[in-house]
Formats: sequence, C-alpha cells, structure tokens
Amino acid sequence: MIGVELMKMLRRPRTWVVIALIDALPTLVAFLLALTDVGPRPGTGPAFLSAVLNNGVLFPAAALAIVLPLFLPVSVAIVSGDSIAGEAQAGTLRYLLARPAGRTRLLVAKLVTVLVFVAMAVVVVVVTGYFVGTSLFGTGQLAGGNIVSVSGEPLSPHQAALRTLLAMAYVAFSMLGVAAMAVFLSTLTDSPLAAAMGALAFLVASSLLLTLDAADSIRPYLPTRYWLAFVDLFRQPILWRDIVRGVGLQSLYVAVLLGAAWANFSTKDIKS
Amino acid sequence: MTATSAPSGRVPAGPVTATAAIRTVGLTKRYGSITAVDGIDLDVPPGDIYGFLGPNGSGKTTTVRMLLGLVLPTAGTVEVLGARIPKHARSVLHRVGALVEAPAAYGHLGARANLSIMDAAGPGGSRRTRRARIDQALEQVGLAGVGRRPVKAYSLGMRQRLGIAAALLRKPDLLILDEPTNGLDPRGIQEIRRLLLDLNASAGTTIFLSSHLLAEVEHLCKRVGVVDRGRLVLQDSLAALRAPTGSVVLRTPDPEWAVGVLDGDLRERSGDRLVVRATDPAELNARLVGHGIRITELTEQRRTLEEVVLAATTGSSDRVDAAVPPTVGPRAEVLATDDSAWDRPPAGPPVPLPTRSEPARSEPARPEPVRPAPDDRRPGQSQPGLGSQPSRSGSAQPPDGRSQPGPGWQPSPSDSAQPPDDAEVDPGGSAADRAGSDQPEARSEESA
Repeated sequence: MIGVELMKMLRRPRTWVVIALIDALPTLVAFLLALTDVGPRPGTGPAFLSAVLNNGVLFPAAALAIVLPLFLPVSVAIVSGDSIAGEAQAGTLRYLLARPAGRTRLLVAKLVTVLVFVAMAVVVVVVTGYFVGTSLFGTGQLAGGNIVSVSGEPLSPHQAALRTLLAMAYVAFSMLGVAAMAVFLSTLTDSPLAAAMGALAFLVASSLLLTLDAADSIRPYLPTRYWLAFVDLFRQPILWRDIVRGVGLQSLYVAVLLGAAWANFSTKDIKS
Repeated sequence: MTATSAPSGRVPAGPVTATAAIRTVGLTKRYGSITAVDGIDLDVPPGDIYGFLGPNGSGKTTTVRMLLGLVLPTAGTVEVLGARIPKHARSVLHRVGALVEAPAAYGHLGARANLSIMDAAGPGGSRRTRRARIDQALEQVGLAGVGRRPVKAYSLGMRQRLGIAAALLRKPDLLILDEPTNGLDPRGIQEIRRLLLDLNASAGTTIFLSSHLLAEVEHLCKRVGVVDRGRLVLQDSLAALRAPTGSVVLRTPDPEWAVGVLDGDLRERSGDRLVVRATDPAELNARLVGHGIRITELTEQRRTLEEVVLAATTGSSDRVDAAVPPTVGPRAEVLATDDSAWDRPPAGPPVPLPTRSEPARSEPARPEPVRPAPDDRRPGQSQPGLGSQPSRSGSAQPPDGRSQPGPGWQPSPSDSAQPPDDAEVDPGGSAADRAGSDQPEARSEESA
C-alpha cells in the first residue's frame, strides 16, 4: 500500500514541478547575490545570507531559511491537502476503500508519502544549495576551511556538514505540523484546495500572532514559533533549548491532528 | 406469492443452508433527521442475478455503499459472502468487484497503470498474475487494444468499460454494480449484458445490479428487489412478479360481436382491443373462434416490470413539488412522464394500477401484493402515461417480438411465459454489427 502511494506520488508530474519551484527560489537568490555581491546587512534578511558571500558551504542552510517561511509550507500543504480529498474528488477513494485498502492503512500510506515528499524537497534544496553555493561563492579558504558559525566561533567542515544534516531533519520535522493539519482537513472535505488553503490559513494566523505583542502569552504554543530555531544549530556550541521545544511542540500538533484525522476518517461515511 | 411478507417468508431457490452472497438485516442509515435507508432486509443467494430497483434517491446507492463498507450503517447488519461488513471487510471484499455510481480512475495514467494501482492497493491481487489478469479483464470489456493513452482522454463509454474491467480484475465471486451500463451505447449495453450473463453462467458469479433502468433489469435479472423511500417494498423472482394476471388481451376485427359473446368476462375495451377475464387463453380462443369471431392477436396478460415497480413505488425523490398531500392520486403518470429513465415505451395494456392507500404505506417493508386481484380495484381508465399501446407478449424486447400482423393469434406460451433469464439477448444479434464503437480493437468474439 505504501509502495503504491509512493509510486502514485512519484509518477505525478505535479510533484516534480513543485519541487523544482521550491528549488528555483534559493537558486535565484544565489545568482543575484553572486552577480551583485550585495548581501543583506548582518541581522537583516534571511538567516546566513550575509555569511554566504564569504563561504558557499553555508548556502544550503541559507537556502533552507529562504524556503522555510512560505515555499515549503505551501507545497507541503498542497501535497498533504490532496492526500485524501484528492482521491475523494477524483472518485477513486471509494474504489480504494472498497478494494479494500483499509482506512487506517490508506491514511498511514498517505502520511508516509507526505513525509517522503517533505524529505525529498528538503534534500533537493540542500543539495542544489550546496552545489550552487560552493560554485558561486567558493568554499572560503579562510581559517583553513573552517566556517564561521553564527556565534562567531569557527566550525570545521565536518561539523558544518553534520549540522546541515541536523538542520534538514529539523526543517522537515517542522513541516509535519502543517502536513498533519492539511491531512486532517483533507479527511474533512472533498476539496483538496480547501484542505490546503485551510492549512495555510492556520500558518498565516500563527505567523501573524507571533508578531502581535498582545498574543505574547500564547506565543510558545504557536506552530510556527520555533521554525527558525534551526539557525541555533549553527551556533557554537549548539543552543538546544528552542530546538528541543520546537520538536516537542511539533510532536504535539502532529499527534493531536493526526489523531483527529484518523478518528474522523475511520468513521466517516464515504459519499464522494 | 409476491413480496417478502416476512424476512424469512420466502424460501430461496437454492439450498437454505448456503451462505447468502448478500444478506442484510434491518439495514438502516440516517443522516440527521433524514432516513435514507430504512430497515432493508436483502437476501441474495449465491449464483443469483439480483436487480435492485428504485426511483432516484430511494436509497439504492446508500445501500450499495453500506454493502461495501463505505457508508457505516446506523442500525442493522450487513453480511457479504458470509462475512460481516465493515468489521471483516478486509477478509472478504477483495472477492467482490464493485462499480459504485460512476467509474473513477487517475486521469494522467493509462488503463493498465490504473488497474495495476487498484490491484496493488489491497489484498488478494497476486502480483505474479497481475499482468495476465489485467490483460484478460481489458479483453473482457473490449479495451484490449487501448494502449497507453491516459484515461483523461477516454470517452464516457471507455471509462465505463474500464470501471467494469476493474471490477472483474480478481475474478470476483460477487459483482456489485451500480448502473453498470451508464454512458454506453445500445451495442455496448448489450455487450456488457452478455458478459455479465456469461460470467454468471460459467463462473457462477453472483451479480447484484443496482439500477433504475427497468429494461436492463428485466433483461438480466432473476430476482428483483424494489426500494422506495429507503424501504424494500418488494423482493421476489422476476418470473413470479410477472406472472399472468388472469386476463387475456385480444384484438379482433369484430369487436361488437366478441363483446356479445364474452358477456360478463369483458374487463375493458378500447376500439378493437379487448381485455377479457380468462385463465386459459387457449380455451378462450377456441370459444371465440367457435363463434366465428376472427382474432388477429391474443396474448395472456402479464404485468410488465414497469407496472410492478410503478405500483410498488411512490415517486422520484428528485422531483420536488410544492406542498401537496403526499402520494395518493395519479402518481403513476407523474412517474412515467417525469423521469425519462422510467418511460420505456409502454408495453403493457392499461392495467389499472392498484392505488396504494395510506394505510398500506405506513406498514413498513410489508408490501401489499402487487398484482391486482382478479376483479376489483379498477379505479380508473387507462393512465395517460402508460398509454394505450397494443398488447404485447414477452419481455421488453427490441422490435422483433411483437405484433405479428397475421396469424399471431396463438397464445404462444413459449413467448409470453418466457423465463426472464433467457429473455435476454439476441434480437438477431447479427454478428456483423458488433464492432463496438468505443472499443478500439477488432473483436474476435463469438460470432459463430
């Protein structure tokens, strides 16, 4: 079942178009930076961008920071929102369930597919980020190949690679909250668009409340609160506090929303 | 004889001990305050071809969805091939092929990829035999030469064929088909009908056919169940439902004379067409001929399935009238003119339909006998909707079976008493015209 769902996703042209688009933005940014050599001043713009001009090895992290706030969540919401509602809209859901695929199995297979999609997107962004970054900005021979961390201490290339991997994992994990929300909405409606938009509305609301001082008391519980904490992975030493909190909070959202999705889907009358 | 008078009231033809292909007890589905399905007791023995009939919105599709575990019943139980649904769906539904409402497929993939995905999505579809099974199913429905074209480029008929192929993929023991001939042209319909009869005869596949197309059911099914407003108002063999009414319809160039001879046995007359009370058509024929009355046509009167169904049901729920007291009067012609699917050319004599009175309605799932009792109950004249067409004999066949001009006055029992299952097919079936239109490959099939 999982294999079938994965094949379905991989054979869909849409999957690859979305990944290509996600990938296009950081690449464009890299080219603009390389052409103009004008980086954002330290402290402004997406994280790492000012450091990238000196060392392309940091560009994968910068690329993640570029796609994280909007591009990645949008694509995840589209793919997850399509998971059940898309089948319902196409009419294939009733045939899958009468096959019988099993409702829980189908839901799990869809979730795994979404996970794989997120992982693919992140990996593609990082890998192209690495090649684009190193070829455009060089590997920064400064300090014997060491990289300057966000907090100013040097990072060995080995450390940098490890931390980039950790950052990928964290970013992918951060997307699971959106994915869970979109999958949940996808079991509620027969319109994939509505499910994706609903999940995005959830994120926009969260981002908006983050900027509002009056929402201070609920801020630690907002799903997007710790998203950018992956930057802390590039400090020396790593500042774990927000990362741990971020993982905990995402896990909570994922557990609650997926529980709701399962409860709804396994008892739903399929009328599509 | 007609109508299930009690859940166990009717002994099925087969051995009673055999596991029913489908059995539901008190199956009920409510959506809020609306009761879509109300205490349906279905009983489909294995090997049967069962027609599940009813007006639009009467609960057919909801019932089918409950059989497949898609909609969960509010009350009552479903057993399919001896296993409870939805609890044991996984152990049994892979032996069921289904077509629920419209077919559906992934538009960007071709027929084979679609079938392959569906086959891999559940139990019971061995990967080793998949390719061969797909080829065979496509062959069966006449799509063998369809190639890799994506399904979104298919015509309606091709999609329908693909949907049927998906249902046949694992050589199911039970086929649950909801409107299987939707979107097919007459030749396609006939092909599918043949295919289904063939599967039933050769593999013993039980077929549960949900439809509002009376002709389709009349041609295919051995038993029918009729739902109306969520209730099963009738469940019986087609032969029993269409048993003789105790009247004979005849045409004569000497109607006045005949009326004199027939005296009190005359039930109805319109022009040269007479409806006469008589249990033995041969005897009546001899009597009239003995009086020197010429007869051009004489047949035992049988109710058409249409009449049976119209008498048992109340109205299409897709018709929404302004508040009028429900269902007493002339709903028959309302139905007949309202929903084009129901107005097959009226084939029967204007049998007075028994008007259903309110008391009968309030008695759930205990349908009144649908055949009009031999005498009484003739409230009106011929209903406009049912027309005053001449009599006919066999089932609703295409042109051949009817109104022979000359010596067709024989009661011709072979024709009129035709059991419904071989009433099927072959209005000549000239092999030449079978190169189906939405069928990309030249068929070899049985042209003999």
